[in-house]
Amino acid sequence: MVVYYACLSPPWFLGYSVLFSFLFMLASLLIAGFSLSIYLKTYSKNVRLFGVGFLLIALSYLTQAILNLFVYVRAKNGICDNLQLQSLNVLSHLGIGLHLVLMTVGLALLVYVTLKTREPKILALLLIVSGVMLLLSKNVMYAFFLLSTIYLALLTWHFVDNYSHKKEKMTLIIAVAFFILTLGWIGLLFIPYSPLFYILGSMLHLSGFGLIFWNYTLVRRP
Amino acid sequence: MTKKRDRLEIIHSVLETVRSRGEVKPTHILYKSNLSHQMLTEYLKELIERDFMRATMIKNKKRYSLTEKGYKYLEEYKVIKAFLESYGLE
Repeated sequence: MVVYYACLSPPWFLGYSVLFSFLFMLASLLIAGFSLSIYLKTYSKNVRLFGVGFLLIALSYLTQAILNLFVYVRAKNGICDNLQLQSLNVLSHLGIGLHLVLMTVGLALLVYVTLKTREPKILALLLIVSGVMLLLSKNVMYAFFLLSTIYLALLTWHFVDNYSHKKEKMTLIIAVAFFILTLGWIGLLFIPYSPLFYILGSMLHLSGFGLIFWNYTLVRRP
Repeated sequence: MTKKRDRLEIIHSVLETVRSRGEVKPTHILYKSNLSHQMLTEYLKELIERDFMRATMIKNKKRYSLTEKGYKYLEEYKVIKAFLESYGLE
């Protein structure tokens, strides 16, 4: 059973959630594009993986935006009745699956890069454990939120550590951005208790990506 | 204790040394870059392969100079470094 979380959003917020998903996609795409352009100049494998990680996250947000748009357009027809997307076709279920897989692999890649190891078995381990966790879970969405929260917490750990070594404005912005994004994912864990957590999670995500974008503008004009 | 230089800094140092002189002898790069002979040879080979530098023979002596791509890299170095430092990717 798949409970798509946009269905747990207050109806009036669905339009915003479509807009936010597109904004998150654009911010992720910006970082991915810039990382890959740096890779072409430095040939650093870590930078390439970092770019690919953000590219997968951007694609994940694109599928989310399309799904949210679908839910938004069809919400009045009771598509989210019983909190299940039973009336969705196979293509939409594939879309949800794609969204989860792209986000999970993207985040796993980012965590792998920050571990600064050249051992591919570590990446394989991260992907296998993530896949098993999602496949065996009775509540896929909850497992997905939990997994993403863990990955974001690990990334935040890395960026806070990076800030402690280089106390600069830009390292601080990224550390705070990922801390806020982690809080956003934690907020999404509590969606079943109140739709307000969906709004809270989305707003925290918006703040986090806002900071990432701000850092990008600072980097481009040092 | 001095911090170990990362790859990006070494490449920048080699390119900057070449840029400051226009055409440079390998011994001058060796002296300025503070690398072992073997390490410098590897870096020079890579930078030529990546079209950042060219080697020419002047009076039977090897001289290194920057290509347009090398000059462009030096211009963009600060931006690249700022980005990599932001995310702790160096």
